Amino acid sequence: MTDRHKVLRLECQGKLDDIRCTLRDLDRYLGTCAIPSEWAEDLNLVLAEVMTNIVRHGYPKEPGTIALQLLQTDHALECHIIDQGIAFDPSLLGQIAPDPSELNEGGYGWFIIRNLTRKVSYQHRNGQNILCFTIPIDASSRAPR
Amino acid sequence: MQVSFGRAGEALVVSVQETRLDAAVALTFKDMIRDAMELSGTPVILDLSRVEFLDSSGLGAIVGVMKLLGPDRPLEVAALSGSVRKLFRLTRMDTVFRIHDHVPQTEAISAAE
Repeated sequence: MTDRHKVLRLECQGKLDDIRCTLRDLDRYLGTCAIPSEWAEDLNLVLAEVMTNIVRHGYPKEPGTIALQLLQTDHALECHIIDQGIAFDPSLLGQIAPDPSELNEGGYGWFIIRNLTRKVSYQHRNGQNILCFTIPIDASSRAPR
Repeated sequence: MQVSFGRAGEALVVSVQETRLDAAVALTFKDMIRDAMELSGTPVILDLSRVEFLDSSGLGAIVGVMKLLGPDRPLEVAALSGSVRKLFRLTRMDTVFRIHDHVPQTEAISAAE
């Protein structure tokens, strides 16, 4: 991924242990690339949130496949996450900041995704959920919320 | 998933011995703390010095542990890495938990205790 416009493709089973291993490997790999560590950390967190949601809500009965495509451009990383699980509508998710005083044990995932990404889009096509977003590499391009 | 327990004065120190506190281990983590509830000491300081990665499931488990302990045994967190601190700030959990920059000097609790 040090080469610009190079695509990294990963696939894993929609199981929490597999996601953990995949993201740990990705983290190790990104550590060898010349990219800011803060950006790699954001990517790892966003992917963890998206993939955990797929396991819990997309594949509630039987685990299926989760495919990742990561494309590095000059100022951002474009991510495509594809699964064959239950369709969903992300448009209303994560728009309101959770109230920390409520001490909720869940409901933070999409709020985190929205805060660390830009250009979120979703489509359901040919039985596939296709979620796309970018993660800006340059911290100054991140709009404050 | 491993945790170890120690004492720092009146406080019980719970040290997470994992680099990732994520969805795959969040429930196990919460169960392990529940099983250790009879260990005395307050506050309970969660030593996160080894944790390089925390996701919302891990954070939810930490909130769950805080609720398990109840109001008489406050849960505090210590030694957050940059990304862990960022998640606390983003979710404003830094307004709920007392955050220590460092883990206090801790004596191990023997297995017999």
